[in-house]
Amino acid sequence: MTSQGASGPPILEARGITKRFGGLAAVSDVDLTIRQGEVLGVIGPNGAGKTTFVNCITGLDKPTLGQIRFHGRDITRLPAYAIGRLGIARTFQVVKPLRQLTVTDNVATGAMFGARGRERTAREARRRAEEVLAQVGLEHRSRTLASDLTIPDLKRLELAKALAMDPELLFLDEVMAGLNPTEVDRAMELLRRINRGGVTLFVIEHVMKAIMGISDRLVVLHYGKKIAEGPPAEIVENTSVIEAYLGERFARRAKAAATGKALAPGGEFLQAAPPPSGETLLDVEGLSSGYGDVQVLWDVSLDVKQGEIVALVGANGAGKSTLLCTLSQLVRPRSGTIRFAGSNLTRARPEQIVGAGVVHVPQGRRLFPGLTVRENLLQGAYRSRDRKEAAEDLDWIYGLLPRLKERSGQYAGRLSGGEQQMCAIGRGLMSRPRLLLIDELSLGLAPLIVDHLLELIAQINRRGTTVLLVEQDVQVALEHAHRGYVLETGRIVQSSPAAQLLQDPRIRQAYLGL
Amino acid sequence: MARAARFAVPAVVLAILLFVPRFVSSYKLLTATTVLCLALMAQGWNFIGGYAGYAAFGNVAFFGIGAYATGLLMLSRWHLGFFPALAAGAVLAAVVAVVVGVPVLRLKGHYFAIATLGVAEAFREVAASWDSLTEGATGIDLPVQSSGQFFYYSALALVAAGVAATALLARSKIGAGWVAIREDQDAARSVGINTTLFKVVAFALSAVFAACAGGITAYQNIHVAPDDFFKIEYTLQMIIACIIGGSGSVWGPVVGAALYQLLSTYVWSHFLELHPTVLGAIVIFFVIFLPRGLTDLFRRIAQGRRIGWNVLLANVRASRLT
Repeated sequence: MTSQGASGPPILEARGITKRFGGLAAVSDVDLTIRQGEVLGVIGPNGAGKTTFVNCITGLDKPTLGQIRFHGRDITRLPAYAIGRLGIARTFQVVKPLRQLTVTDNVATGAMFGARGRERTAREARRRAEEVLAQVGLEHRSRTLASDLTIPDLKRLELAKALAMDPELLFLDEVMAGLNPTEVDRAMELLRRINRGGVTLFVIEHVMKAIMGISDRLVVLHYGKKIAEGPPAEIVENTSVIEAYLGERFARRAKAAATGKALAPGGEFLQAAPPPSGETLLDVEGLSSGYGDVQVLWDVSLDVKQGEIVALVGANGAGKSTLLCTLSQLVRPRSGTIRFAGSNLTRARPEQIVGAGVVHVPQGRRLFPGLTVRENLLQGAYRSRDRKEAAEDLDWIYGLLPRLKERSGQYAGRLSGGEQQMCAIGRGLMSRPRLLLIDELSLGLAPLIVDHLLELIAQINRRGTTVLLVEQDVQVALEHAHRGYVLETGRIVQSSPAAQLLQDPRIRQAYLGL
Repeated sequence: MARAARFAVPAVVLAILLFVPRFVSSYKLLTATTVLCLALMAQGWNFIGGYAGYAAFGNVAFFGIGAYATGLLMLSRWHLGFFPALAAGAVLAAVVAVVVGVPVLRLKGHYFAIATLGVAEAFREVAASWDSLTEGATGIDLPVQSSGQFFYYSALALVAAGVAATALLARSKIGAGWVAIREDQDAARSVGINTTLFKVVAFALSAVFAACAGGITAYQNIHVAPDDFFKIEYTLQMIIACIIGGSGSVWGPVVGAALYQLLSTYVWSHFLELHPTVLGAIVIFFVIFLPRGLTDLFRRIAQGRRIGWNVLLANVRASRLT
């Protein structure tokens, strides 16, 4: 808990904020006061209007109605750049790096134009950038192009760029998505340090452990309205919050996080079919791959049996995404073999992989932003010639993910981050995969939806789809898998039934933060 | 070493260019001046297209405005000298760029490109129909200046100034702001960059450079007519020069202009009938294999990195996947 807590004077007051897009009210009549020195956490289902609210405050969108005061001054109609210069910085959930620039130059733009930008020359801004990079632990990447960073590093870059603006008030939009529990601990420590340094924080996060542990106060948004506000310990008891957002399973975890107690492990294992002894569906031997001069995977061997759910566990940068990308041939293997259902797919093209029944739901969604949700989903059935079948599948997806039905006519690029993730998974399922490769299932999703999707995966698994799952929430992943592989610096170091991995003290320390 | 080379190489190049008129025929000098004018236009386009990332397709409008303004002011009852007239033309073009830019620069991507294309066409129509001022389609005749060296040195001085200005701006906050806008406009706004102002400045600068090239070309050709000075080929040439040289770099536009002229001459003399086809193929080659232009290749060589097909193929992969 921070020293000033929730009792400081107001730094920002938002009154009656409403934002309509066409007929849809993304935010409606929200009153919110942010107090100097506090950490205000904001939670709510995907599409609840959290990011839109931040857009309204920071000037990227103008509220349809309402007024915003910063230190008592009306900033409602100020342009975004002027708001940034006043000392209000933000990060973007869907990251917006300056791709062709180095990490240092990215951060230097923040230092050049932010609250104290006028005092600095371009050269001084670069020096300031180096300081900030050391602060967030990204200094070893300072000369890397932003386009070459992994998603967690891009999130950290967002944070560094915003910090370099010397803000008084910082809006963080899911900077911890994609971090494993141990990394979340470190990120929380960093945010606490930033807060102690005098920066008021407004934190949107779905990682319960983080948001419950760090916030002085929580605000809950649902369908654009504020439905609850109060200290974390109260919020986790609030029935409407549990109903709309947390779900039963995560409510338990959130309570544990809010009260600082460790959650008893191994409470609930997969209730789906018992570990099957089916024939091997995917058989990988001695696989190596990488990008350019950098080799990422070294001699990786693994197998996935028909009907299994297998979790792939490892730290950021261990090569999990690369492994999935190599399996789907988005990255070419350098050596080794990939066999799927008896045929050799080591040299197949990506579309042949899909044809064979292996579907990859990539990290970062990769939707078609200019197509509607419906069109995106139908792209998943691109290979199926039967329209009627595709229409049936579409209904099935809409049944599983009703949010997508509500949004079916909207452009995918206009969806909230979490809705995009649902759309990506829906598109993957539209291809009726035999093997589904999912990269970061929970990334940016509300707990209730994660719960829902896990149930969904168990359901399609019972119907015969085999799943290889990469998920930073290691506990969730292992609770829902039959077996797990542990990947470290591009090599498989362990493979056991999931329940055993969950009990393994080394795993618990390295990946569960226990 | 690298630092010394950064100043030594331009100094040597400039010294050689200063002595060119002594050794070449007046026809070749004319060609050299054309190259310098193209370099000027490309330098201007580089600000808006290369650094700020806005694909302006109407910069020929400023070339034409510069040409007409210079000519008309020299012919007017004040009988302005060439340089004051040129400066006035550049200022006028900048003012037009600001007036046009404030609304048009709100558009993104293709919409901006098409809008600027329309603006250029509109100015051609104005020049062709405003008989009392521009003599319509007939055009205007300027006083005769017979010294080829005069044009050459004027253009060379402006290009040299352009290189210096680009180098300074690229390292300044303005340059950083332009690049941020190119990479992500929302991110740029959020870090406190007044994007509208920065874009308008880039557009106005590009107009100044194009207008200077237009003024020199007008005086050199003696005659200014709408169809000669508002033709889209000029816009295309400056964009191509910028891209093959390396857009968003200090030397790219100059290197690109020289390369374009060399290629164009070579192709004319070897493929007379297929000239546009072959030239087009070469441009496509550059866009695919060297999207960052020739200067990027020079930079790699200067850094002592090995150059082979792998570099070209890496570029292809990079441009295809983004």
